[in-house]
Amino acid sequence: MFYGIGNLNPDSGRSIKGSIIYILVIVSISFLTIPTSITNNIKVTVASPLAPVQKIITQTSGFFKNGFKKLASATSNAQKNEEMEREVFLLKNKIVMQQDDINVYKQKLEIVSKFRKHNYSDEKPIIADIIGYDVSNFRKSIIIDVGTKQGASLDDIVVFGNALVGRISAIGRSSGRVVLITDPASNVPSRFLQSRTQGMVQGTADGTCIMKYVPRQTEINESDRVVSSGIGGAFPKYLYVGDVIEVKQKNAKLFKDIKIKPRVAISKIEHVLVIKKQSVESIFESEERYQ
Amino acid sequence: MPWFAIISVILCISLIQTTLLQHINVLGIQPDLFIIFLVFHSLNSKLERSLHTNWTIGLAKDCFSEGPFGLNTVLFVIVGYMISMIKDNIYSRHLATQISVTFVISIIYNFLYLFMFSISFTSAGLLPMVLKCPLIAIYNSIIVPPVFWLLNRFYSSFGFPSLRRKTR
Repeated sequence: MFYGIGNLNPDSGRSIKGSIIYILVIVSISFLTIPTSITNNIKVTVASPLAPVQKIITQTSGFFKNGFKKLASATSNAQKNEEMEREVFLLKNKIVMQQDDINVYKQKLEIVSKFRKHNYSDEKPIIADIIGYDVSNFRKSIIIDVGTKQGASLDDIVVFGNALVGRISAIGRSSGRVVLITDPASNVPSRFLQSRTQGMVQGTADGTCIMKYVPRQTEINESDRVVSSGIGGAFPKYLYVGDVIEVKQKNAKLFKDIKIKPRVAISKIEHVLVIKKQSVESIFESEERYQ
Repeated sequence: MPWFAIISVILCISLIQTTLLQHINVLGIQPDLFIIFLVFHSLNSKLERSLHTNWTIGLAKDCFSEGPFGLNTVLFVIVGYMISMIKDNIYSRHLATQISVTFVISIIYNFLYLFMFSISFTSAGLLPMVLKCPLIAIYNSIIVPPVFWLLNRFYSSFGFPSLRRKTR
């Protein structure tokens, strides 16, 4: 229709092009004004139908990645005759397939047992598989295969073992989005395990975090541990956040520049644990009882 | 038919970007297939069609990314329009041009995104993110030849008229 009008009068065609741009930009800007709760629902609704496909692709790629690693090591060690190599190769292939399954279950079990060992809550945490990652280079989030159907809800905490991974920012029926602690918009109230000094851990999008608002007179050493402080109530206390890898002190600054390596390298894990909000509250209650 | 092809490509790109590209990241940077597709489409189609498509690509990126909804949509319409403005003055069929345009557009898009991001969030890690922009642009430019080749093959099989002329 636009092309037809454009042929009749070139000026009207140009004005239509201009109006399309204006309309598209205005519609796009109006999206920015929609409340986050609604936009999160839109995002999850759009992404949900793709979740099963994402899960299959992620699991298959993970399987091949592990398989290739193990096959590479297997072939480098084999220095016998060709027949033996082939036999070993075929057997290793079979073993890799079986081992991958065993490893997956073992990892899941370890995550749950570690968490249960350190927490008093009776609430069962939910095991979730990571099925997707953020498409942006500047944002750090993951998509998990757990949603409201499995009992997860918005702002639930995501951990691996006893280490903090992030927080659920959008939730659908069978999938959810987790903002990682390495996301630049993420802020985790934390403290140093040794000195008990408090600060705010913020993501930098390059896989590391920085700890802000640590006074310059505080003694901080490399490899000091950082745990969540629980202030504000968004995150529970005592979750392992990461280790200090760099401490800088500029002359005029009131606070130190502290770089932190997160405890959990998200690219190396396949499963996480979702702690329900009620569960976090009950942990606090049980701690108070113990004190 | 072109819309069917475009939406199929966007869905495939979304799936690949959210699942597989994490495995080939270098220094925490992964190639941005959405930007590459935007450049491809803006260079190879008329302004009216590319505007709608760029808007849809931006919307798809917003759906699969954390952050303010609509930000990528606005930026994709703007950078797509910029490509449409210059494409008549450059030889867009040449690979070197396609690589150069992808590099420049990646940098512009990333800077605009970070500018908007810095308004929304007071992030202390803004400088490392700014320094990442050229690296992202280089990585995007490196994978332009195979991605453009694949997209050309896919589009020509659907008989997309404006592209078929260029792939001959």
